[in-house]
Amino acid sequence: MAILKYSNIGISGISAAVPKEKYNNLVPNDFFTEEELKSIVKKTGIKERRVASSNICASDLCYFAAKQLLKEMVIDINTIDVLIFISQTADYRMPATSIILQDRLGLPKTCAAFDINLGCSGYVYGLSLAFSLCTHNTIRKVLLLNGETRTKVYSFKDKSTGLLFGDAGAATLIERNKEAGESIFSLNSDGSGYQFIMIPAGGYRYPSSHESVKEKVFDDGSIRSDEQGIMDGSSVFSFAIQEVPQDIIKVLNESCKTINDIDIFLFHQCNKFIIDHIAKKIGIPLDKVPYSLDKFGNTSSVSIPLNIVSELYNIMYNNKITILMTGFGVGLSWATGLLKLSNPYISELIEI
Amino acid sequence: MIDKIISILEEILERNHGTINPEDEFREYPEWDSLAYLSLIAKIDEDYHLIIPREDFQKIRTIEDLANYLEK
Repeated sequence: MAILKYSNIGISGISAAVPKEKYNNLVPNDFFTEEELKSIVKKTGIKERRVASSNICASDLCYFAAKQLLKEMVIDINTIDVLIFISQTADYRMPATSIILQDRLGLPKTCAAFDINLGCSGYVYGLSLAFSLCTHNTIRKVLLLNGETRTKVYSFKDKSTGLLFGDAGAATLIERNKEAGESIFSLNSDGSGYQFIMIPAGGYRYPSSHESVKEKVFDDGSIRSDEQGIMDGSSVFSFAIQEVPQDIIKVLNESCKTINDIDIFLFHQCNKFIIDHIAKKIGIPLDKVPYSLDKFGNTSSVSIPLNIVSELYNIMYNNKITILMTGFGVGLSWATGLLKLSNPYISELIEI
Repeated sequence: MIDKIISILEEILERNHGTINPEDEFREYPEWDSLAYLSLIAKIDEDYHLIIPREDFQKIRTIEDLANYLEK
């Protein structure tokens, strides 16, 4: 069982960047009627999303987030010993984007840099890995970057996914900290559901071709090519409401805590209907569940740090809170973490 | 059981009382869509603590079938 426990390692700073351009989900277009839009937005809670222009990549959003965080925290970049970039919208198929970012951010050559290909569970997985690396005395600071330009992945003419996703990048600095106390993570996977959320073409199983880029019309009226993302919403929903509550309870039990001991529950911002249902199912008071999906949509692994920057910015100053975070989705992959945020530096949201 | 399912569906589909019958194939209602599906699965999970697997749900045609499934 992938349960990991750490002592005195914590988050010392978080920043996030989003594109300036807003996309209003309630403006009717050739593909969605006003009525359809109202009904979908009512359920998902996603009113607005940020859309990156063609020349902005996930790595650019992460670069600006990291640059601002390191500058404002006055970090000696020579003390960053690891850079992790988590994304499914990397710059290139090779090399790894993290290595390009190491140079771009001016980090030393002694810094380890690597990418992780995970989606919605990626922040919690990444944090757990960063905490694990910090158990080594030789690792002083880990810079975790989560970036996604999911609006470039999904067709805006897809009934299931066309209104859900937004673009964002986040930077999190992790290091040893005596104030951080105990933390616990649970990491999980179930590849039997790999087809529930995927981009079928463009890899080596189904390489890009004339066929793969052709737009096709599906039974529900959706229009997309095989190079664009697909999502089986009902299967993902069943997975989420089955597995996520169990994982949250497992982490609470493992840490001998109850829902009352947690100040804030940070859910991956996928869809308000799913989050509300999970919270209600296990008795989490909704005033402990911040939302930012109405403004940014589903930003995959960026949604948790973006939610912290957007919704906890004002309450975190000189404050210590116990948080439980849970990310779930593509893979299928899901992870839950319980940790203390001990007065971390939270940078103001950056708009590019 | 059947009355409870009918009232759940009336609420989800925003249909007037008396317009849903046990032998109806609920997928045929013009209001039935993927969001209605999610609402129904969620409501059953809430009230009966049961998440109906998709493959089982696909075999359920009528409201009566659904009630029988839940009774089992």
